[in-house]
Amino acid sequence: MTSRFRKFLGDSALSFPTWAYMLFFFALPVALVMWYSFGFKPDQFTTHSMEQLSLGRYREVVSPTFLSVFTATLRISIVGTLACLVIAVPFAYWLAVKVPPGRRGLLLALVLVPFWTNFLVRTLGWQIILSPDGFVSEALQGIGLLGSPLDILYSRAAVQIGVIYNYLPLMILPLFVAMDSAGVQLREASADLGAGKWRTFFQVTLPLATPGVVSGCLLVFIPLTGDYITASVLGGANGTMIGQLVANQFQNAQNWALGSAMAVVLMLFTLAVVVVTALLALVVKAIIRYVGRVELPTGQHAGTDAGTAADLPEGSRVRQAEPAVSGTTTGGPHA
Amino acid sequence: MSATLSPAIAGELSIRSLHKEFGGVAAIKDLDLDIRAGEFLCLLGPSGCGKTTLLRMIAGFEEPTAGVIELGSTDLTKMPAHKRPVNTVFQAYALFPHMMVAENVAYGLKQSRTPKKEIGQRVDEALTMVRMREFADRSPGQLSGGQQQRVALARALVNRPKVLLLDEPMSALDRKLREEMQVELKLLQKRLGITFIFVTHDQEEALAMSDRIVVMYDGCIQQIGSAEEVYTRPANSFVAGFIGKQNFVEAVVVSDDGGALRLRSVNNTTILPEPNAAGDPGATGRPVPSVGDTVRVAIRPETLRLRVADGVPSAPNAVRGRIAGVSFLGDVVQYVLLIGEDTEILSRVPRSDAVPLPTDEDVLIEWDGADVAVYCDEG
Amino acid sequence: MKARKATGTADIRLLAPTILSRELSRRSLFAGTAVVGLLGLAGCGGDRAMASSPAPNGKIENNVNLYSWGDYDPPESISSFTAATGATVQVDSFGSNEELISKLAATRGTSGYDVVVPTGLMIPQMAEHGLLQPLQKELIPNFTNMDPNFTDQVWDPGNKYTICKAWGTTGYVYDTYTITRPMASWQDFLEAAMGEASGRTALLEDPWEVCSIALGAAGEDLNTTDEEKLDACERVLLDNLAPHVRAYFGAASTGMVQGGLALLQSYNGDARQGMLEMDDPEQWKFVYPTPSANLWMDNWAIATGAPHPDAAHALINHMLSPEVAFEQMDYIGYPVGTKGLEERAEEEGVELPELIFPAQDVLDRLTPSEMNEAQQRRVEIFSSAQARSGA
Repeated sequence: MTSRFRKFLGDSALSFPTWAYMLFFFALPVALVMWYSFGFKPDQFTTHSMEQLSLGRYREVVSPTFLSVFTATLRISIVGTLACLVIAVPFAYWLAVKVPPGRRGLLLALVLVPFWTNFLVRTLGWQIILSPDGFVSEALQGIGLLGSPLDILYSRAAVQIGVIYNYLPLMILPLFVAMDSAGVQLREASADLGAGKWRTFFQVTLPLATPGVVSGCLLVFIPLTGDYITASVLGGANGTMIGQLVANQFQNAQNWALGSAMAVVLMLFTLAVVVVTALLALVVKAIIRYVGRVELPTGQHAGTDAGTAADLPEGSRVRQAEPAVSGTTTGGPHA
Repeated sequence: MSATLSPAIAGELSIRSLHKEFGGVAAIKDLDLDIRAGEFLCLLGPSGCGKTTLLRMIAGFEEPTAGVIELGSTDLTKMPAHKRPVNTVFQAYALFPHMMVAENVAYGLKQSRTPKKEIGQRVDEALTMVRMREFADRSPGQLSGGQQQRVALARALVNRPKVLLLDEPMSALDRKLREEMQVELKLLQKRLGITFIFVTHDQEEALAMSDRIVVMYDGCIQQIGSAEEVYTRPANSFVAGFIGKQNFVEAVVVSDDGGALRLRSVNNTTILPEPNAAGDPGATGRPVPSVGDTVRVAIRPETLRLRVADGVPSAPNAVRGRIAGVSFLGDVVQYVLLIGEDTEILSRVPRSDAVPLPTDEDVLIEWDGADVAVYCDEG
Repeated sequence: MKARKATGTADIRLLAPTILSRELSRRSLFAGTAVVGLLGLAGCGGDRAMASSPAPNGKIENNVNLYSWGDYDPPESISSFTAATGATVQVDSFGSNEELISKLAATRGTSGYDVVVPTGLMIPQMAEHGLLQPLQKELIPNFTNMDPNFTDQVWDPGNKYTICKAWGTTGYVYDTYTITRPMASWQDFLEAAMGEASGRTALLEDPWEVCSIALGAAGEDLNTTDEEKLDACERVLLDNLAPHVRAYFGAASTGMVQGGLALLQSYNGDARQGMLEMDDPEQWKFVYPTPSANLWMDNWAIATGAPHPDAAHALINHMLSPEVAFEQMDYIGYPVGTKGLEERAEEEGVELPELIFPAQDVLDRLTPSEMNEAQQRRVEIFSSAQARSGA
């Protein structure tokens, strides 16, 4: 018992940085937020009180305003994640497969350059780009693509563009790593077996990059759903995201109880979306696997039971075509 | 599709003036090669000799800088890899880790839209052929190296390619397994009648399996011939040295009596190669040395005869030496012999022959003129 | 009620960097407060008594902590204070009165902040809860520089706790190319928003201000607590105005500069800042709407438990000197309540002075906003309006 306890202590001592980090920067804050969500704001001078626990804040959360903003947020984050995926897959493929390894470092650095800039500054840049008086608007009008000034700043479309831009690198990096690790050998093997570029991509490269796709989607979807800076800077009345409501409760209304309840609901919904998507993905995978399965003749295999195989018209044709094969199996080089 | 489904009519490859450069450096230099239908051909050479590049150009993974590759009457040169009726067994097998063994083997058939039922049938046969039928539902990660190799073989052969390319497929196997696989592969090739092009740097492997061996060095073919031919009649000193053990000695041509050369080695030994025999330069089209030229003389260790010295050799094709070391290599005994102060040569004799001679014994070393090969090249 | 500050000087014409600096100051305080807020947790709950305040002893401390609105104090005024007294000023910023109050209330006088800048309507409750300490006027001789119009306000008779820091009012600014008819009232605002400026209208991100549009248009008391009047206000805002609203801003100048909007509810100084940044100053026009609008005032105050009382008083005194007062007005674009400021502005040729100093007839009709029991109702109306605009 003592030794086991000591062993436990010893092991945990080694991993101290990991669990301490998880405890202090993840578990405790989340637990606090959950705890506060059962409290209330007693007066203007207090952010929260835990003297009376209730689910009242959750009832307040489920207001029509919250739900409509929530639906909008979900739409922005799902569309954003899918768009990032659609953009990142060909790019990561190109980077991992087509670009000579010597030049990849530079291109990856270029992908990351925006990350060296403050998130807010990057987003503000888009305010200028998307402005009706901005250069994009003027250029599009100049070449006749637009009849009137660009009208997307302070709208959901602007938020959508902003989040795609802001989170794209988080999709590209894991996808690139995944596609790179699949390796040129397997793609050559696929080509050798008769698959063209597209078939190789869909049957070999992409399936092998699935872990990268999954982590990329999570890395994009989760922070994107909670983002409020992009929406505050680029969104108008109809680009509001749930993160703004949460931030508003904590910062302006100073109602930590309601803000916490909103945050918890947001977390649970994010989790639910991830779980549902994961289940769907598993179902799709199972279907693909089922459709693509190889059914070998049952019972004794053809080679050892020549009689059974010969009865099958297909089999007999194959057999005639290549008598040597069955010869090998019955005779067997090592028989 | 009908082409790949037709009975195993093996491919006849002809390679003309093939040239390949990587960044200005030639890997294959203006190479011509005819590969016969249904033969087991080995591309043998040290690493960097261009053998793998040649194989990859046949497979379609590299595009030649110049030249033509034809399979029968079909020009493959510009054909993309996935349309070529050839298949490859890769060095590291390159099995798809996300597919079961059966799916791996079925992959090629699915690409050619083979009916589902036929796929099952043929995968079954292919797996049975390589004795991996019961592993059909395993994932490649659960297999040993040898098992993976069999699967890779099945995956290639199930498509009934006209030519099967094998890129050092045995290099990851241990020696015993490798020797088993060599026998198995050779038998398989005989039964299927498919043209096999096998790349290796291991001369024993090449000698054991090939109908013909193409010895390559520096992007060029050094010699093409049967195992026996390249072993006993190497076309040049590179081949002579690369295949099997070889004693090289420098000598000067003293006289040339209508093809019968008289050579004198650096330590004054007289060597008389037999005219028109194994080492005769004229016989294999090599340049004939003239009197006064320095040549390289090659004599295989197993052709030397040793006996306890009873005096100074009087006849040519003999020299006196001292045994510097003795080692047992299983069925042969290898002697390291010292002639004069600094010339070392090897001798190998079957172990059962006699009681091994002791170290430091003075011996008389003799050979037949027929076993002497003479090369004018630098080697 | 959020007192918006404009930044920069009048001659700045380089648009993008100015916008960036403003947005940065507005947003970066979010990040800062989130962290501080978490740390503030430790002080929550427990004993509700306030810590005692150290009394001034005539010796100015080495530093002083100022907790103010983002980018609300010109750096040169701060550095001149340090040069004069030797005390360094640590500036921290908040984004709302609620944030300020929560912080002071949660720490019960141990926040470490000396000088704070609450808005007028908050002051009675803050004083009642002991968050502020009475000022010692003898330590603020420059108080005599104050314009009597801005002292002795209803929320702090006799300036017991506070002295005006800046004041302003709310109105709207419109694009004269889009809206060509004369504009004067909140009713005009509603009609333009539903008419030629539909989809190109922006409102302030503030419940009281948004409600004041409909209440003003109906001629009601802007601080009304009458349920029926608030219901009517809600109907107008939700059904008539909200569907035409493009955005809700903290600062209207951003929306003016980025273009695309034609009608923006705005604080006067903010509108001026936006207009100064436009290439075509004729394009925009500001309206002090009838019948009434908000009159807000932010105020210097000293927090209970302030660790540096001498330096705190000295800092307020410094800010009230005529030179520094002008510096502040020039920097934030709002009058700071000292005497002779308007004349000085005229002398120095400050641009658009009519947007800094409303005329007397305007001042006479303004209504200082109150924090009353209908505040929660206003927040509800505001949230619904936002949701309707976003639908």
